Amino acid sequence: MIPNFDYKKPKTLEEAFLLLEKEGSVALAGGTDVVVNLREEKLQPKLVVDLKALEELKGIKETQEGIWIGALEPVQKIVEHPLIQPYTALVEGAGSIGCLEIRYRATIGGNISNGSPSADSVPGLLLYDAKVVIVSKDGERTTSLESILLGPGKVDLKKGEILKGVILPKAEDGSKSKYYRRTRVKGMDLSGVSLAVYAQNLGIEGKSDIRIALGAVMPTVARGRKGEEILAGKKLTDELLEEAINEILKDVNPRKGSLRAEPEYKKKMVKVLIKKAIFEMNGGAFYEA
Amino acid sequence: MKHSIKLKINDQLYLEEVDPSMTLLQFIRDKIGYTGTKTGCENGECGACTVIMDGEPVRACLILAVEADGTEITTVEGLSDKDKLHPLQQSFIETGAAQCGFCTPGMLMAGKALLDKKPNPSDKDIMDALGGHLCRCTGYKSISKSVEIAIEKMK
Repeated sequence: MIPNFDYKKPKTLEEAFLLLEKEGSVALAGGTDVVVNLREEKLQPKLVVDLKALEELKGIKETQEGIWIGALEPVQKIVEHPLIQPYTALVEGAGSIGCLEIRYRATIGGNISNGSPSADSVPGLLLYDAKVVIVSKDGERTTSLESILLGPGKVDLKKGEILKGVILPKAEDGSKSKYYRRTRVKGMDLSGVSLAVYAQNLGIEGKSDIRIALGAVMPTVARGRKGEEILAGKKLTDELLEEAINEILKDVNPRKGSLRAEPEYKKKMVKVLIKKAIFEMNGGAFYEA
Repeated sequence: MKHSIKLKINDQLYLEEVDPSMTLLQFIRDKIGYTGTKTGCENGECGACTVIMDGEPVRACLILAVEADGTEITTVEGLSDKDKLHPLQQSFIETGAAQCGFCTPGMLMAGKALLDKKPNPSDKDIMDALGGHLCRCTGYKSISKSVEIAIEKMK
């Protein structure tokens, strides 16, 4: 049994801001985490504010800046939407969340706002330098998704602020990406380690752009920028890739006592999965530009 | 404070007062009395409470009844056409896909939602549709087989 609370479903953003400013209020989107947390009494709100009537938080469409994804869009819609298909790592990551019934309800905004270090939709978004649009009664701010990820369960959303949606910059011609994760069981499970890699002009001197995002190995999902810099514009060799991975691993200190995977395993998998992604995006060949 | 909600379950309209903390699962079972929808893990992990809401399979344990206001829901009780079983139900019986039967309503609704959307699903589609459902008896083979047989029956 869930302890009782008040429930409101505002139809306008203005109404929603007022309700969310109240002491003890909690925002509800798809509910696949919120309802579990209500039942476990990890959340004990006085008021649940259902965001699902807010039209401003909906839609997937092409804009001048790229693709707009409303925060309320269900994960499964992102998996299936034609505009999102070029963003392979996002499609694969989002498609690995829970199971089909969960994906029909869980939203992209919820997956981000939970601030989970293992959020499966986030590595794919980070590869493409996704931006987030945050609204409050004081107006709208647009910032990089990366910059709002603060720590486990912590995102830079203040009281009364609502994540309105995500802007995915246009995917460059010829860019590719992959997402992999390792779990204890094949079916529904949370990632023990996850990895997304983006490549454009892979290994072509002066042009090569490789981006790497890591999940479940740091306090937030994060980019391996120091490693990316080592690879940027260089011809790929075994030694160079090894150097880049080792640089990334310097920042990878998974916590001990995780239910899902030991730190040593996670570190090994980071190495294995980066190599695997590059191998596959290179048509099954190692480093032939 | 109680909220009034209006929704259709198995083509019948219901107008009810509910506490915001009541889940759709509790509503369907305790308020309406359709106990075919099973209470399993109540955590979204087992699939026993799966119903179809506005054409999509969902977990009734992860939805508040108030959130279902204005929706159309089908439970396992709405699957047959009076005395005529749905092809999925027939194939489940023929294949022995129901042993203890506890997961069966959820499996059936997941199968129904799949076939409504994709009458000719791929093997991967079938695995995706059933992938979030736990069955402790059958070993799953007979269940996915039943969905394949139902597809043939419906052609």
